[in-house]
Amino acid sequence: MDALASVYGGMMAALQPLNLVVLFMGLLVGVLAGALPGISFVNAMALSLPFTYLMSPLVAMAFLGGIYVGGVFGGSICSILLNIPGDPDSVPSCWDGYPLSKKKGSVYALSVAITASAIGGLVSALILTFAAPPFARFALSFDQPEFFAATLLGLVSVLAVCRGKLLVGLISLFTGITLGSVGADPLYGVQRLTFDVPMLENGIDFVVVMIGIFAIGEVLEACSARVGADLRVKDSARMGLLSLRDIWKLRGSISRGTGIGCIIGTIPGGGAAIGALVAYGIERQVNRQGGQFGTGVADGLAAPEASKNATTGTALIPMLTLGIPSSAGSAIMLAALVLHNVQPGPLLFTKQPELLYTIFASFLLANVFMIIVSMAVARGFGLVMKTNPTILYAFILVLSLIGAFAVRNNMADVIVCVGFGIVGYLMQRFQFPTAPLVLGVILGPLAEGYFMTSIANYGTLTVFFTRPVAAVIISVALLFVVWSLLPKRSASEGPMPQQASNG
Amino acid sequence: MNDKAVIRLRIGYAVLALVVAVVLATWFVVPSGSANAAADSFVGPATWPRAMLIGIALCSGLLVLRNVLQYAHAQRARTLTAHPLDEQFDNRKAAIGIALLTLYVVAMPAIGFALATVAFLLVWLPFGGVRKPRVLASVAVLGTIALLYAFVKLTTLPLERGTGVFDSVTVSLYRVLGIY
Repeated sequence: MDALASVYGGMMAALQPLNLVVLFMGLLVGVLAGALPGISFVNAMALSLPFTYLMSPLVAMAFLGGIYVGGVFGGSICSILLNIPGDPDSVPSCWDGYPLSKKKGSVYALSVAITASAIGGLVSALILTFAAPPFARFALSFDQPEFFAATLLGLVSVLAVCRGKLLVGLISLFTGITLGSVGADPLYGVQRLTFDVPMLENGIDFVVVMIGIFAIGEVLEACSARVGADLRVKDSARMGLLSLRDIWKLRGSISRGTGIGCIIGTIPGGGAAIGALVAYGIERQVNRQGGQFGTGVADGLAAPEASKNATTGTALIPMLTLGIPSSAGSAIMLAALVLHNVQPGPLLFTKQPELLYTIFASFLLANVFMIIVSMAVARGFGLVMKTNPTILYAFILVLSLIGAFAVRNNMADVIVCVGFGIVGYLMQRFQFPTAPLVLGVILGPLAEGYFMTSIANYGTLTVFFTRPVAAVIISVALLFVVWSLLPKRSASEGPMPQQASNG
Repeated sequence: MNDKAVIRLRIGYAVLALVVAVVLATWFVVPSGSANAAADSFVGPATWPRAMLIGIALCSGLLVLRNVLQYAHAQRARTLTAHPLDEQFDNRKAAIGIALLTLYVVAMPAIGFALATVAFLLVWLPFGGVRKPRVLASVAVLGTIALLYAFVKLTTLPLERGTGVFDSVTVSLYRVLGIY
C-alpha cells in the first residue's frame, strides 16, 4: 500500500502542468531526433543536458526521460517508412517493418510498431516503479564476462537474418567487427588498422557507417534501380493503436520482446540495440512464421519494437538504485541528477522517495504520451515522404551527410560515410547482407572491450564458462549458431528474404 | 546472365574475398612486436582484429570450396538457376549518382556547405527529372536556407563555411539570413 500511495503522490506531481509541457517537449525532441538518421536521441539528450541545469531535478528528468522514451521509438518511423534506420536500435525494425509497410500499408506497420513499443515501454516503466530492487540485485550479478556474453548473444543473433546465406553473413559480420576495431585498442591504446592515416586514429564511428550503408546506399540503389525502388510513402502514414483483436494476435511476439527487453535493459552495456536484435533473433527462431521473417511479418516487427522500448524503464533501475548507468541515455540522466546534487543509490529510496516516484510516474506518462507525439511526427513524416522522389532522395543525401558531420564535427566522417554509402550500394547490388556488417561495427567494439577486460581481470578464457550466468548466455549463443547451421526444415524456411539481406 | 556466368561471378567474388582477407590478416593488423610488448597476458591489442580477419579468411575459404563444389555439381547436373543480378540496375545512373555525391563532398570544405548544397541540388534535381526552373530554384534555395536555420542557427552545428573568399561569402550570407 505504501508503494501505491507513493506512486499516487508521484503521479499527482508528474501531472503538474509544467511537468507535462516539458515532458511533451522532450518527447517531441526525442521522436524527431530519433527519426532523423544520424541525429540520434543520445545527441539530443547530450545537447539538452546544459539546459536542464536551469530546471528542477524533477522537470529535468521529465524532459530527458521524454527525449529518451521518444527517441528510442522515433528511429522506427524512418525504418518503417524509408528502410533507413533513424538510429542503431531501429536496424531490426527495417527487416520486417519496411516490407510490412509495402505489403499492408504504412498505417498498419506504424500501428504495430507504436502499439508494441508502448506496451513494452509501459511494462518496463511498471517494473521500474514496483520491482526496482530485485532487478537491481540481478544486474549486480553481472561482471565483464557476463557483459561479453550478452554482447556476443547480440552479435550471434544477427545470424538469424542470414539463414540461407550464412557464410556471406559471417564474412559481413567479421568485416564489421574488424572495422569497429580500427583505431586505438580499448586496453593498451595501441593503434590498429590505421595504415598511418590520421583520420582513422580515432576509429570509425558506427553512426557514420550506419548512415552510409543504409541511407546513402539505399538512395543510390533506388536511383539506379530500373523497377520497384520508389521510397515514397503511398498512403497517409497515420497511425494509431491496434485493436485488441490485433494485439491478441501479436501477444506472443510482444510479450517475448517485452520480457527480453526488460532483462537486457538492466544489464549495463545492454541497451536498446542489443535488446531489439536479440528479440528479433529469438522471435525468428520460435515463431511459427519464422521462415517468412524479412518479408513483412507483423511479429517480426512487434518483437524488436516491444524489446527496445522495454529497455528504457529497466535501464533506469541500476542507474537509480546503484548509480550504474546501463545505456548512453541513462548515463546522461545520471549526469543530470548529479548536476542537481542528487546522488543515485539505495539511499535515494529512503531520502527522496517523492522525487523517485515522480520520476517513475513521469516515465509511465511518457510511454502513454509517446503514442500521441509519435502519431503527429509520423503524419508529418508521411506528408514529406509524398514529395517527388528525386527531391526526397536529394534531401535524404544532404541530411545524411549533415548527420555524419554532426557525429564529431569533421569532414573525415563525411568522406568515410560516402565511402560506406558506395560499399553499401555495391553490397546490396550483389546481394551481400549489409545488416551484419553494420551491427558488427556497433557491437564489435563493445564485445572487444568486455572480452579484453575479462581476460585482464580473470586471466583465463575459462572464465566465460565457469561463471554460471555467462555460461548460460554463451550456451544460448552457441545454440543460435547451431540452429543457423541446421539444414532448412521445410519450404517455409526458404532462402533469406531480400529485405532481410538488405536491411 | 546465364548459369555459367553466375557461377564464375560467384567464384570470382569468393576468391577475391579470400585473397583480401589473407593479405589483411598477414600484414595490416599491427606489427606483432608492438602488440606483444603492450600485452601482459596471452591476449594483446592485435588479438581481436586478427581473430576477426582469420574468421573472414576461414569463411571465404569455405565459400570458395562450396562454390567450386557447386560448380562441379552444376557441370554434371546443370540444375543451378541464375540470379538476376544485372537486369534490375542501371549502372550508368549509379555511377553518375556516386560522382555527383563525391563532387559535393569535395566541394563542401572548399566553397562551404551553403553554396555546395545549392549547387548539388541544382545538378541532382535535373539528373532525377526535375526540370522546371521555378521548382528547381525554390527547392535548392529554400531547402538550403531551411537546413541552415535548422542546423547552424538552432543546433549551432559548425557546418563548413569554405576557404578564402567563400568563407567571407558564407559569413555574409549568414548575416543576411540572421543566422549570425
